[in-house]
Amino acid sequence: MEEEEEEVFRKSCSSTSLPPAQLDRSPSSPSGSRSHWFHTLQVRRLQVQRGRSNSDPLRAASCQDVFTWKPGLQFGAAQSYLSLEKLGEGAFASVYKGISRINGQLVALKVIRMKTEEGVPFTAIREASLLKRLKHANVVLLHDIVHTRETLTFVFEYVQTDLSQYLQQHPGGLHSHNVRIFMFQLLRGLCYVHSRRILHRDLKPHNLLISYLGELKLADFGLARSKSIPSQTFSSEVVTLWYRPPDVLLGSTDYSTALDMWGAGCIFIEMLQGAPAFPGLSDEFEQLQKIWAVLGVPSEDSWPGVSQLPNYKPEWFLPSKQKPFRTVWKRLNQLPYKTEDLVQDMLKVVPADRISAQDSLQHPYFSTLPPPIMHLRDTTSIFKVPGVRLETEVRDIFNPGRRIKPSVLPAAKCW
Amino acid sequence: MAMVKTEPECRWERRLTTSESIIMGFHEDSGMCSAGTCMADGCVEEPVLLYPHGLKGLHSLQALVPSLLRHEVEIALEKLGLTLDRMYAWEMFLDMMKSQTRNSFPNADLPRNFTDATRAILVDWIIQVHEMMHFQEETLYLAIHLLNYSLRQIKVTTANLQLLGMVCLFLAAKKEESHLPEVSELCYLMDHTYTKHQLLRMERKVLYGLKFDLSYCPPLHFLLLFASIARCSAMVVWMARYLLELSLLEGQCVVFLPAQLAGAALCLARQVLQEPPTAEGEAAWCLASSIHAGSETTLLRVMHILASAAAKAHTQETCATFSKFSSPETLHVSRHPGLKNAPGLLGVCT
Repeated sequence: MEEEEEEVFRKSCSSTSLPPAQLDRSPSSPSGSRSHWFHTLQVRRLQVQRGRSNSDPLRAASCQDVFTWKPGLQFGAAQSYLSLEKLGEGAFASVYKGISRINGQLVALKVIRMKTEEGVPFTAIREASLLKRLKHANVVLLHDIVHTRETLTFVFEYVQTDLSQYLQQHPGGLHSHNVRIFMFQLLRGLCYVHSRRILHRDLKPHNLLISYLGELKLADFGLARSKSIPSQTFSSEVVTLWYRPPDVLLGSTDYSTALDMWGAGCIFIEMLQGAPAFPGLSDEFEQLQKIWAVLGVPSEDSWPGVSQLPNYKPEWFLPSKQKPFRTVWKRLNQLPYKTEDLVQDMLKVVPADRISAQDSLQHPYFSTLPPPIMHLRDTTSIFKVPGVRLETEVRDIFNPGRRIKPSVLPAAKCW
Repeated sequence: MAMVKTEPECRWERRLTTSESIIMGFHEDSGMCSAGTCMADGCVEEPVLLYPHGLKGLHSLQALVPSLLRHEVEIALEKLGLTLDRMYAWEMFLDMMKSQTRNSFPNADLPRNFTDATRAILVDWIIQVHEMMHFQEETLYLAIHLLNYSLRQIKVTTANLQLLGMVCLFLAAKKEESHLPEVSELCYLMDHTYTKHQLLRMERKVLYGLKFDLSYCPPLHFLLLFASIARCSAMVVWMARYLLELSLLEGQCVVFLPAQLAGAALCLARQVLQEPPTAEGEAAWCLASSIHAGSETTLLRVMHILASAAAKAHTQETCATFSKFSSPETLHVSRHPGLKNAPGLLGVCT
């Protein structure tokens, strides 16, 4: 059996094209219809009918055993990577799970199709040179770039799942300790990219990859752009509406780090509540209405300059007053006040009032984490600090039998 | 593939091994912190400021005027729009200072078949095309940086030199500009000497040689930063910009750091113009030049190169920069009489 498998590998190795056509046609690709990349957990789920386990990270270990790699292979060469399965398909790119023939590591291959008329797309050039500069434990690592005539392939580290899937797997809100760990990593990653003049601009649970250990990594910087003088006006329509801040919804193009901080605040609520903070329906107007319903309709008094924004039309909005967050998002009621306090700092209507990533890491909300966590070097994961680990989630749709008695639910008495 | 690798990819490979080797042990970190290098805000200061080429002085300087310089740098970076948030400005500055070391070359040697004169002609042509396209200045600096880099990384025949120059400008534009020229337009500008196909193949070759790393902090940003801290007049800034652009034509300038080139250009501009000093201006200048503390000899070397380049700029065949900076918008700086005896000026000073 093992020999047979190896034979199959050899066969696919000999065709050096990326992506391999034979895998494209494979009808057994369970996640092929998903448009987003890095969606990998469903694939694993079909193979292993069980929940997440921290002790058995990569089921693909057996795959590595049968796989022998050659020493002569080089980075940057198409034949150095082997696509295993398709993970997603987008407008301009497909994502494959793959394996490096250089060192046997699992990788994610983002294959960008190029229209050759004008050469390598400028977006790809910006993304590549931007990602090559980013080396941080909470930013997805770009291993290599493979360039052929028709395609450009970014070789990323392989991360098992993303926050969107993690939330689906553990419905009804996450363990408050895990929320803290995820938030710390999200803000640490943001602090790193912001200090390098980079905005993510498209934060959402889909774009936050989660490893089996619980390491969170920012991904999909496709729309991110390093700002330089003279600053160009960015095109609008970049952030998914649910995570878009009111100033941008009102038509402001003066993008700043506050843009990402609002998104992070929305994700914070989503992890606690198990549901999006502001699930708008279709357009900017409805999205704003959702936000005003909680934060109140702003006026020139509460937000100087707001009336100058292109889409500001106060007469269109139903009058509403600011509500305490804990009455809107009930989970905040069960948690200490500092949780709500940090959420409030992040979800400020006026962008200039929003807390920065750097300041938020110093917030008392994180004071229960071991102090050394504040002094890690960029590339060190927080899980290297003794005592930092994920707690078992209370609800797991893949392990319904393993339910904990309600009396010991940590949500009842949280620290 | 026609691509030629001239260097083993050790740099790229080193950070690629496994994720384990990339992640440094936590205990190592805590050891560093206890050694007293950890600042209150958690950023490790000391190793960042230790780099070659005599900029070591910055560290001691920081001990002397820590808050003032930091404050000025933060304000200047924010004013220039070089940082997203004032809060990250100092870290940004440290990152600029640190990452610039990747952008200079150990020596000014060119591959055998090229001379500095050939290179200057090519750079001059790129400057003309750049001006015609109305690109930003950053694009020009990036293009020449890419050219310097790829001349050393990939094998190019003399016949393809112009193509390489155009591709470098094209790539720089793709990185920096919002409006891109079409490939056919570029071919037209080269009198259809090369086909579109050849251009795109060269683009691939260059990107491969660069390993897709187009990040670069142009000396212009340092110049604007220093000038802002030093409260320089518009005249001085234009003069410095002119001198800095002249440095692109000088092959020997590639060994210097962007911050050193910028510092030298500004310093020389002040000496040439000899504006009447004010107490305030002198204090600001002292603070700005303190960034270069410890690298004065290097600065002086660059100033000599720039001074002699400026003195003979109008007689050269490669005079695109000279004419660009003789316009009224640039305050006619390149025609300033003081430039003619600039080398002599330095001689007296030293």
